[in-house]
Amino acid sequence: MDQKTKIGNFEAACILLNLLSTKIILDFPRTVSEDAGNAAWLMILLDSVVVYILFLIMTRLYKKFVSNDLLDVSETAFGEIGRIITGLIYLVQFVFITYVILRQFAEDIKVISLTSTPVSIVILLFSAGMTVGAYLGLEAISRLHVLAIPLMAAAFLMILLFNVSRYDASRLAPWLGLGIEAILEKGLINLSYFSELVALFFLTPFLKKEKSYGEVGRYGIFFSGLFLVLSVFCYTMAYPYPTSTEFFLPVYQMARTIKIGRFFTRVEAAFILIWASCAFLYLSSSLYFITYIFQRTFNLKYRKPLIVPFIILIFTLSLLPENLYSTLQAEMQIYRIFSWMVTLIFPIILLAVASARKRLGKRKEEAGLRHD
Amino acid sequence: MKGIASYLKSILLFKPEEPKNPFVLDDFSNQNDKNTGDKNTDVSLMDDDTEKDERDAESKKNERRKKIIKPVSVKSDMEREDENEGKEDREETENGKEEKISSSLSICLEVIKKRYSADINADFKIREFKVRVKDKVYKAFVCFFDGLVESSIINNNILLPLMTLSVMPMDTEDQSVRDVIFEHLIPQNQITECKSYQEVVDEINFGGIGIFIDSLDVAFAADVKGWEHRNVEQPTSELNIRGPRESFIEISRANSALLRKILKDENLIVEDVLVGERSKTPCSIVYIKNIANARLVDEVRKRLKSIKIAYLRDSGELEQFLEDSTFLPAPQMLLTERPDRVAAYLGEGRVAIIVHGSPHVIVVPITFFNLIHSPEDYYLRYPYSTLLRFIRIMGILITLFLPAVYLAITNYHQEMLPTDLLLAIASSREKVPFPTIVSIIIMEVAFELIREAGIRIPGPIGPTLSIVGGLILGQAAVSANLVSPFLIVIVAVTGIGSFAVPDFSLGYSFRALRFIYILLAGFSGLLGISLGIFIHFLFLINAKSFGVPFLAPIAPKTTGKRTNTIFRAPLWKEEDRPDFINPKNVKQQPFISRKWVKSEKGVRVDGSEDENR
Repeated sequence: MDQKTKIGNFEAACILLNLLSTKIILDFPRTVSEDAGNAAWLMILLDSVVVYILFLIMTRLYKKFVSNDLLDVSETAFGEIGRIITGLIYLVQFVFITYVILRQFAEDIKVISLTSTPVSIVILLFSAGMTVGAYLGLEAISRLHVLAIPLMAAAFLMILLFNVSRYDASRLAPWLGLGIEAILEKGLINLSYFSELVALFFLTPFLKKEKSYGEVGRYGIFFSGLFLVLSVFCYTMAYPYPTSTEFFLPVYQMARTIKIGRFFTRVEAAFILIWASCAFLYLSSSLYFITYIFQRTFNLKYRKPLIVPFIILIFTLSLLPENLYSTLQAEMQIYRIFSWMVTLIFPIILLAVASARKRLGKRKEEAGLRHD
Repeated sequence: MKGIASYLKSILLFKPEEPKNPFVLDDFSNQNDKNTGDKNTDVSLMDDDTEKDERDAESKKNERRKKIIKPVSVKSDMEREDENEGKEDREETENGKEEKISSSLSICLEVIKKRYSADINADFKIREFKVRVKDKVYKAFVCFFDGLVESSIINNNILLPLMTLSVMPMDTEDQSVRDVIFEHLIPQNQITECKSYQEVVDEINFGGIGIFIDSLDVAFAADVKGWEHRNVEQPTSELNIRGPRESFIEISRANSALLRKILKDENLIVEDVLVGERSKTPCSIVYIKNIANARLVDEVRKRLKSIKIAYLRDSGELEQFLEDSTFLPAPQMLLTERPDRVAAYLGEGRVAIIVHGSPHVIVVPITFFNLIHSPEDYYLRYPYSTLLRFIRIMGILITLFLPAVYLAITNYHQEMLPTDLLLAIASSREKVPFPTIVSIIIMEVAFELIREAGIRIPGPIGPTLSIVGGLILGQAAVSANLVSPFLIVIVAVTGIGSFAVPDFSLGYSFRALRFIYILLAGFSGLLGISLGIFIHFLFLINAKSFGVPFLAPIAPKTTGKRTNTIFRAPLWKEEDRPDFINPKNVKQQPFISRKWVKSEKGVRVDGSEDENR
């Protein structure tokens, strides 16, 4: 039975939510604290609002291209060359973030529990999961998201909840942190934290209800924004600036402090399960998008043969940085500075040009008909 | 799996692998070319003598080659043989099917004797006699397999009327001989008129009797089955306290009757399909016509009819021919020996397959959650059965993960344990010379051995096994410092957990996967277990049972109200059939099924809103 892959809205929203929120369990709360001090949560809140507005603009422009993905849009805007260039841009973006995140997960897990295991072995284990995920395809990945995301969200909220006794609202003061200028300046760059939103525009052709892509995006942005803000908000209440900039893994640090009675004093090890699940879901989705974009960019017939070459590429790239610090540098100094332009501004330009060309074409047709 | 293997091959090998044909010998001329080519490259290295010898040898070879007229491949030979055999078979079958019954009794007798090798087949019986019809005597014979038939039926309902009643006066003057015999002289409820030998043979092979009368170009086949079989007994593998205690037996019609007895529905269809080229095993597709999805029934019919095997002995074999994925670590069909369970599933719109000779009936399509349900869940009150389901799920989790988690914690994540517990485990392991993974594998293998031996062991020596098993898995192993007492507890609890899995086949799957999880935990602790869970779930999510996603209605989430998965709703709330099966009629009971209540769910029985809710 030859059936085209279709996924539900909830499944798509879960993928988006995971792609946007996974960074919480990495270094996200710390890096934003470094950028905006006590007002980090405010900066992320502003970013969420800006992204929401940008998404509304995209949704408006995207209406005419509902059953197309971003590559089709770029083809409408700039022809076949446009599609190939756009595809390559997004390919680089996804490959970059995937290898960086892969290395971060591997390094973090090495520090937490597998201290004597070489990082390459840890990366290999993650790569195995990624490969199977990408091989079985979007349908399987999206359904697994539906199972896992509610559990992971519950686990995350539990961590925040069990830390309630440590929260002190006065630690949020001064409310503007490092100042409005810092919030605005860094806030602009930190729009990159929502760069995975672009995945939605590759997902739309797979949606059962294609027209409800806007709803999927809005829910995705709302809940990821909520989780991002909540994580920073709670973290800042638990660890005031500048202490908040010192912890290697903020959410893990919060989990470490949980004590339930005399017996359950070290629940953070269970955190590894959530950690790894998040990583597998994020990385396998990313690998799927990488192979999908490559296939679409060059109009290839098959996607699955691309999985092994790309996993080898990502595995190799993830071993290039010397250590975790250089990985984080690569992310902060390259990816975060440029990715917001590529993923939030560039699609708007593409959509605007494609809409204009479509309208122009229509007018020409109408004029031609009238002339006839 | 095969796809993955070939894909990996295509990636890892630089040159795509050429399709291999193990029966084809390489062409001689090509072989020679290759050899010659090789020799040309090496010729400069050879000395003159060697060159001369080589040349001689080659000339001899060439002569020999000339003698061979044409290279013959093994494949072509075998194929030809197969083709010839197939052709003969086909001709035989076609002849058998097409060969019409002769009106001469002697020819019929000869054909039947030849077909059944009657001279050496001891249990094949032929009884010759005479029939008087319309004052004329006709020669006749009946044939059957001794042991497959009920002798008293043959005597009283076939032979007695034909041999004695035929002399009684009957108003049959305007009727033909065939009609007289069919309508008056064979008082048997199931009788078929056969025009070819094959039809009679099929009936005889399945406990029928063939009746041949001289001058008639038809034969009669009567159903006189009477073979030995088990009576309907209590189920052996699906025991329960509450609910019916009947189980299926090896007789297909008895099984369909057990279902009819429960359902009492004229829309219950029992459709027969013969599977097995030689065994011609009768299989029945059972479904309720106005509930089951027609496409599902078509799919089951299509798959059953497409199976080409020689012999089908049991539903377990049929399951392997019907399942969507061979390598999935979970069964994709439900095999049950309980008629009440099958009846409940038929009522939901599923399809059952009865295989003659098997006491297990196949139910399709199923989901993972059906496999962790027990029929007793529905006979017990709602709160109890919900609790039981939780306990069962706990059992599954323990079976799959407990040894692996123990290994991961003791090897990689010691910080996870509270200090007192950590010290207790450490002191218990102090004298054990093996690493934890070795101890676990020793104990798990010992446990599996005992379990397997327990099934195979003859009854009278069963207690010996339990004594030996108790020693191995008990104090002796601890005293010998092979394992720690803590590990004994882990293995024992794991074993008990595995017995809580209600489906036999799923239990096997968990037993096998437990070892994979242990290896993964030994390799990389909780990260390995997470990898295992991720891949395991991906495969389960990706699986389908006759087109229905294996983890429905949770992944993918279907829109139906009824989610009888982990929790069980009170029976009066289960208004809908599972929507992921797409039954013809989703509603199974009205919104208010307990009409005696004044109002339910905020609505009065008369349909108005209940203001006092």
